[in-house]
Amino acid sequence: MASEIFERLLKEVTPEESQFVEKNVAIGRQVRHILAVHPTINSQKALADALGKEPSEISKWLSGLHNIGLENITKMEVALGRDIILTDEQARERYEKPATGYQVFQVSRYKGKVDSQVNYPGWSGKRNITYTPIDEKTSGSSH
Amino acid sequence: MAKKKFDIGKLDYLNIRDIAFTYSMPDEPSLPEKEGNPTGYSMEIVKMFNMDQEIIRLVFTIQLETMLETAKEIKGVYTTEHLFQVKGLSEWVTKAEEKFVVDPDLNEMLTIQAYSTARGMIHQKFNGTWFSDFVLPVAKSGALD
Repeated sequence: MASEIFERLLKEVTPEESQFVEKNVAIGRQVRHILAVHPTINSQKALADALGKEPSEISKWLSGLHNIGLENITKMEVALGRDIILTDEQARERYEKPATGYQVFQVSRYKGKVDSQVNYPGWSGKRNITYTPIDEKTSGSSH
Repeated sequence: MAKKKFDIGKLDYLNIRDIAFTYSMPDEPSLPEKEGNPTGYSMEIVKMFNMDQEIIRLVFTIQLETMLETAKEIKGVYTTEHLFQVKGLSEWVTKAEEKFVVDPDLNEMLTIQAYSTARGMIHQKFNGTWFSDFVLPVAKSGALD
């Protein structure tokens, strides 16, 4: 019965709604990626402070269900000093050009083994870790 | 003369993105009890720079595989790209005997930042797979030189 209801609801989702959620989720993921590595704004609360908003509002923006709007995306981009969305052309201009001029300076390979899995998120259980570098530093080749 | 120390303020984590992800598991594998299964991993970190753009690019690939004879065919490979902007990069790169050498302090910072980020990304990416419990170990200082 429940699966029938679910199937029916799923059929009622229009392509536009599906695309809308997909894009919104992607934007939320990108913002979370940036927050994870940003030197100063590294949480939703810090982002809310930077924008003069309530944390609950930022949470709503990043939920994947809220229409964030280009204006708010731009505000986040300015606060974070990073682009959140790029068109194909912008992405190519930014990343393809540098990718042609790279010089490899190090290739490192490592092998390891985790003998016992951790029961995440409790971090309990025994772990025996072997961590062995197997090869290092091949320098000077171009890429 | 004292050695010049790299200032982390000159390092900017520009972008991270997925490059490739594959996961394979046979339709009817002979699976043992999951608890305590050993997982083997192989990692490769390729580091390169673009001097004109002052960008350092790390391509981080990890392959996971079960270490149980009965489940050897379960494998996963995940590659991520990490781009860093380094202000004044040329000051930190030297060339000796046709080989480029990046300042060890800077090199270690790049590796630690990419590795730490990749740990979380790997855990998230393999969620729902045989390797969903796998957590890449915390690297000891100097272990990734």
